Amino acid sequence: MGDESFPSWRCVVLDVALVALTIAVFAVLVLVLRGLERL
Amino acid sequence: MSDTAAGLLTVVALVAVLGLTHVPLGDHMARVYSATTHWRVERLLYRLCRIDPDAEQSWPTYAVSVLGFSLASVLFLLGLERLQHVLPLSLGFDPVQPQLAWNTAASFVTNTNWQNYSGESTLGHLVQMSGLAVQNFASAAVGMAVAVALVRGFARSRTNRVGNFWVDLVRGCFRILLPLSIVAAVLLIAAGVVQNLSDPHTVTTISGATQHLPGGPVASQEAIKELGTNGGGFYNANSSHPFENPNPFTNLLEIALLLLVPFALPRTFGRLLGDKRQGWAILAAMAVIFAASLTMLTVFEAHHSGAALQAAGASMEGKEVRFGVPSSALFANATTLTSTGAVNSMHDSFTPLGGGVTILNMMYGEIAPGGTGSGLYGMLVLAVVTVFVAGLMVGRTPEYLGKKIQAREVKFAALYLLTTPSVVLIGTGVAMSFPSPRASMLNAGPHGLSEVLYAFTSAGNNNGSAFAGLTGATTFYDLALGLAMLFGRFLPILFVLGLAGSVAAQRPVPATDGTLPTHRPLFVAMLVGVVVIVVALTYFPALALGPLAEGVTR
Repeated sequence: MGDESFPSWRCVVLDVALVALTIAVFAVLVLVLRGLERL
Repeated sequence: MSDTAAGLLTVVALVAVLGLTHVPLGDHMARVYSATTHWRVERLLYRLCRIDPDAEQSWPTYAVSVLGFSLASVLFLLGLERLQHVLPLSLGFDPVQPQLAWNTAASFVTNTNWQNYSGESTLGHLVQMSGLAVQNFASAAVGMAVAVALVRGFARSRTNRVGNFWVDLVRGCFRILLPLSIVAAVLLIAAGVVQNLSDPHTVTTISGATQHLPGGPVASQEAIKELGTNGGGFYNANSSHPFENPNPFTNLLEIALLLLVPFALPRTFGRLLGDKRQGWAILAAMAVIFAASLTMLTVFEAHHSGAALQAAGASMEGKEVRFGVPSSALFANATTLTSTGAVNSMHDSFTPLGGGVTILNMMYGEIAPGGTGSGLYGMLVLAVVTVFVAGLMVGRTPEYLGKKIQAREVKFAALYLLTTPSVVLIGTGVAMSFPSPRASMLNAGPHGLSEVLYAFTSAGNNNGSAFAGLTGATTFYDLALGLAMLFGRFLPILFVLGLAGSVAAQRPVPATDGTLPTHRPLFVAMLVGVVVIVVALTYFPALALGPLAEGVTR
């Protein structure tokens, strides 16, 4: 389960992408929350 | 003693434990969440985090706090997994692969604990203790906090305040989960569960081969794994591993732990509301569904079809001999009707209809008794739908707990009910549409569909158990199931908090002769009926193509 098959540059790109994905998911949730406030 | 007698004794002992703890634990939790004083350690924590514990929040602020805490938790856990090779107690393990680390972070923060990794060969002790075990506490406390906010919404009137999330979170951890976990961990250690910080022991077997025996802080993690309805095992084999669940006593204890808080929360609800009868009604609905599912699951596993199974006398494939069929069925029923996801047998090896019951249990939305907190708020949303349906039947504006159920409340309830099925069915549909995700199925035909359906049902409902046949450690499933877990957890929480704010703002409506009593057996029967009908209408086609099709062709 280690990183042997992953070059380090690919790991960095993936790490950044996954952090961005996490923030994007929570940003969507905040947008839903703002929509619900007007329901 | 026969398996059947042992199973019956286990059920009797379980009912006794839950019966004895229901009132004291439920009352204790009500006192915890309504206390006006703070412990010294709590005050210190609030001061360090610059939180005013006496300032209550409106529902949107409460929701932003939940989301902010959860976002920080995902990122922290992700960082811990990716950096474990430079951290102490790593046992020499490499950093977890990025997408697997993300899936695991999303999984533990959402109280799902879906595991695409093998704990004993992937994670060091520090990540297990400071990452996963901490989230086992925090995610369970988040669920309880949201449930209590909804109860406050019903109990209060003409206010926009539903509590303080940070206070509810801290109290849930410090005053409820931590003390219970310490007692449970000591009991587990006394009964033979492993607890150490040593490196794996290397032994030479009788045949001369070398074997590594991994130890670790298992009992302490096992306690909160069950108590917080988390389910993520220290070992890949979860509670079927003899170091994690060595004997029938620990098996009973683990089942009792995972049901303890969810079955006590209706009492807390009744106490906070000032009407204990309402709590009994919710508890009765949970118990009816639990008993019905347990009966079905045990019958399907005991009265199996197929010449090989009948010749063997039991459907024992995938089950531990030390537990037998009844105790395996009981564990499977308890773990899928709560949001736990721990397993002491492989659900993939259950009979088709038995496996179908485990999927159905999760599809109920895990409300009987459900996860810590999420079970109660899920059942209360369904109670709102039930009074709405009853109101439509007689042409009256529905009321629940002295609050009118109007368009706004029904919108929140409807959004809640639509979210999880959307996540599950769209996710399954996408997975079945592409060759790469289909290649992860171990079996073809209906059983293969059941594997994928189970995975998305488990993720979307934040259960975390796996059907065992599906190879989930692929980029597609890491990302798709991670998204299913996050949206399946936090969208319903937003709708529940919206409902809490909506009913809290109302003025109370006095009960009249036309008000539907919601503490009587008739309401309990209607509530159970609504649960079954909603699930049947939503999921029947998927179930028909998977476990039902397999069941009728065997």
